[in-house]
Amino acid sequence: MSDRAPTTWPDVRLVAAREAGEKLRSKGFILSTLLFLALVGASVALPALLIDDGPPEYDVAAVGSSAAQLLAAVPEESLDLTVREVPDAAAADRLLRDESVDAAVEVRGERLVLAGVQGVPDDLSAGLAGAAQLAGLQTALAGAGLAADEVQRLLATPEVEERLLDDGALDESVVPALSLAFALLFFFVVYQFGFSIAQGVVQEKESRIVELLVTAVPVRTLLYGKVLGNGGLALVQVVLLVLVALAGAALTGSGELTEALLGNAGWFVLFFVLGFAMLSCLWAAAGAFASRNEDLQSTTAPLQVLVIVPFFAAGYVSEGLLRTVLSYVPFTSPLIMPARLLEEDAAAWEAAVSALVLLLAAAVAVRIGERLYVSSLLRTRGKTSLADAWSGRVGAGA
Amino acid sequence: MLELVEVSKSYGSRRAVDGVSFAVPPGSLTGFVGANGAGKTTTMRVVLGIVAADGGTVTWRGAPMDAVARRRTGYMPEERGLYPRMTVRRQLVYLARLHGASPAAGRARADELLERLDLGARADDQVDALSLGNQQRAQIAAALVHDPDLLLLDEPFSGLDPVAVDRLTELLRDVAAGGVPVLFSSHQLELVERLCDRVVVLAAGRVVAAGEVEALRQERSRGRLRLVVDGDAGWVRDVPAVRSADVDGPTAVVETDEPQALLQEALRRGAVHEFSPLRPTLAELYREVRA
Repeated sequence: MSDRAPTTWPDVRLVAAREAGEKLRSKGFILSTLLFLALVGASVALPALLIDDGPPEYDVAAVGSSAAQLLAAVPEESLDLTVREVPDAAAADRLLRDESVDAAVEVRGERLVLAGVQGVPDDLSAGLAGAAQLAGLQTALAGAGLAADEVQRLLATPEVEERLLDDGALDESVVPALSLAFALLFFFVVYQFGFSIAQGVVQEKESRIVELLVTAVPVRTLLYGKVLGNGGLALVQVVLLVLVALAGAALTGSGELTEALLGNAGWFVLFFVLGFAMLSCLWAAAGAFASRNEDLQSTTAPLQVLVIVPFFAAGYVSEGLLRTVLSYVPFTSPLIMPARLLEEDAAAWEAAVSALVLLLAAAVAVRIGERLYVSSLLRTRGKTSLADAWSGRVGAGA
Repeated sequence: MLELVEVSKSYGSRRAVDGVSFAVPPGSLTGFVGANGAGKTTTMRVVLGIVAADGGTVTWRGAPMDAVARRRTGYMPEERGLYPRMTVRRQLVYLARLHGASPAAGRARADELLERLDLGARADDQVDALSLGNQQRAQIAAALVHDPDLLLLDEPFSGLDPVAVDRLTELLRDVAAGGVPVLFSSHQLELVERLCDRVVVLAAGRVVAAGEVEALRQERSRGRLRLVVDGDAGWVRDVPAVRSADVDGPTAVVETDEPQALLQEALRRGAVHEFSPLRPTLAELYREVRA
């Protein structure tokens, strides 16, 4: 429009409140949020509750009594074996074939033969070798005239006590999982709300209410209101998810995890807000390019790439220089920098620099998205091409 | 007063609106008439700033139409549009506020309009749950909910049942009586004739007639009148002032610039049962100006 009216905060707030309000009224949105929360809660709490720390369990066939004796000597704390004694190797093979046992053991003189269908579990073969060694030693020591309790004392496993230099640090195995969780969270929330912004825009075009809206307020007001309303809800959802994760971590007694999460929550939220701001105006433009809901898949395709590729990059590039570089690149930094902070791989100043780069990129993306949105919003026939939208060579149909 | 001067808009090589000038004075209902594709919708969109004109000016109260004025304008688009999943009342209040009304004023006006349009019982239904006729009423309410200073309605009567037509007629008359210029397009010419003080006729992007309906009919009657006498009226053909005559027994439809001379001649010949000017209906006028 030639005469530009100023975009005022009360109008933006009004549009944002409608966006958020209508979403909160939608049963689908509430249900999917609850489901998401339950999923995150479960994925934090369940592993701790379900992980079985007991020894590995196997069904093993023993060929002959010598093998059975050997298996009986395997200490229960290293392998939990269910033994079936069979008369010969052929009988053992039958059990293997019909998957009644995981392996079969046969003693041939000095040698121990471990039979499997295509392979045998490593811990089983290691455990059996250890047991055979122990049995040999026992026999030798007893043959040398040592008393049974003496033999027992000599062969007992000494108790090992741990003394850790870095006791408070986060368990190394938890960090990659947590990084992945951050990346997933960002990916899902940006995708979900971004797509919903695009859908909202095309719905306004399709229902033609956009013609009423633009006579009331400047087009920019609609864009900012949409982005703020959806962004605000997305942020609330993220905060809820982080809270659920924290609660889950605290309940299952992962004190260090809780601490690490709390310490970096501020950074995560900052990167989330900037990353979302950068992409959301582009999502709105992608929505404005379409004039029907069916066009959305194709007009949002470039954005889907911009969300999915960084997600996989963050997942696959888990170390090295490339990862450091990616933690400064706007599209991947919201995914990678918080994870690097969590690993104590990046200092606060690095995060600040990365956030600044992201802020600048967001400012540019918002301008681009705004220009495309403004020039394509009132085009209600067919898809708008990028070049036409950029040059403003579009107008409404007759 | 809304005034358009030489407004033009082309789409590619097609001139959708071609030098259109007319005015919509306050307190009047102005009908906007023309065939499909005559340029009515594009003209309205230009006034509303949805489409940028290639040339010409649109002024409101003497100054160029700007965003502030547009915000005070009520509009009902040809292709209806409301949020399908939002309830009627919430939607109306939202639109009122978007046009600058306070929440309380928006709510009060929304309820008043819903009552007047017989939609009060459906106020808390989602728009997509309403029948088409009721959606239409909701759309009318949406154009009026912020008490606009200027009202533009694109085919507001299409799809309404007779009762709803009466309700809307009454409503539009009230709005116009409050000093608001109202411009509405319609294909229903009898309705326009009955309802409007003024009319603008558009054909192929140009204004072919504009002004007060009565004056236009008068102007276009071209001295046509109907004469009923005793006996055969065939003699009218020989009266010098008569340009053309269509005689059927005692009844003649004639065109003349000197009706008094004709009447005197008729009275000289005998009794005159009827002597009345024939004004074209709006429909006839419309067909004539389009030809």
